Amino acid sequence: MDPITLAIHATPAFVASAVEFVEATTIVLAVGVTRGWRAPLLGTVVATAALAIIIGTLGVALVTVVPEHLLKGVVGALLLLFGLRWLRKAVLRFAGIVAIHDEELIYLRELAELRQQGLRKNEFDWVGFLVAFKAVLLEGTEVAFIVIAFGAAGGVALTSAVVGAIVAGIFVIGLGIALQKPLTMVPENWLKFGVGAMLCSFGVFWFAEALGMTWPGDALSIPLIVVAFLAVSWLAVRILKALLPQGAQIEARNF
Amino acid sequence: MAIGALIALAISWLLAVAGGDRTQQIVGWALLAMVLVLIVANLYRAGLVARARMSSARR
Repeated sequence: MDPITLAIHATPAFVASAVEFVEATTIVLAVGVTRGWRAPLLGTVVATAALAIIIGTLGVALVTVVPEHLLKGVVGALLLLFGLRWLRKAVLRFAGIVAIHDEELIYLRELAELRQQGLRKNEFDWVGFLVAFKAVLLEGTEVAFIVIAFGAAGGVALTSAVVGAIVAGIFVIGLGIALQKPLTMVPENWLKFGVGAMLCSFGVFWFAEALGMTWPGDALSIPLIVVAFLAVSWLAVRILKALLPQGAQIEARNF
Repeated sequence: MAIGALIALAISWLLAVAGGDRTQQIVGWALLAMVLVLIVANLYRAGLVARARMSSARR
């Protein structure tokens, strides 16, 4: 497979995984800056190892036991449900009904909470360890789910999904190390909007395939489905903005 | 939204199982249409709820 084809196939997994890595990296950074790096880095390493064991076990079972069409159906349904949640939240944020997800606010809140708890010298920081462990394990599980979902077809799809997730991890973690502060420059709501549409599209595509449908042009239908989701979601944003009176968006954020 | 999506998935499955080969080949488009309608309907309802909450908060 040439690098351009690989890059195109890996993009959905890259974008989806990047969102999860941003969340985990923000928390690990907040813990590291306030309480020192030893415990959160150890928490990250242990969570990564636990994740590898879980994926190693479940991954083999998924390939050998479950029939492909059943896996596609289940994963398609999960992707659709997962994607709809993201898409709905992103639309409500764009319309001003829900406050924009603010990574900087989360970072400052983490800082304040951790400083409040205090820390004695020469004591292993279990709080820092557990906070980092929990964040990395949870977000890592979501990345694993994304990789399994996008790579469900096996072969090229799986390779591309794995490459996309690894590159996203290196990219976001590298960005975090370089910046040493919250990743506020990543417009998270735009990412969630796009990723939500992509997850929904793959969900519809795979679920229909599991039911025996052959899409015209096979995977070439996916961009068309993505465009349909984006267009309808943007239409929903416009409808919501028109529905709420002038200035109501700001007022609604206080609910 | 989740319940609506599950109903759309169930309808698609029923269409594929009960219908013939031709129905099976349009089940994806039917699912897509149902989900798109669901998105607009659900968000429109969320907008109405938000507007009602704002009106009652102002009073």
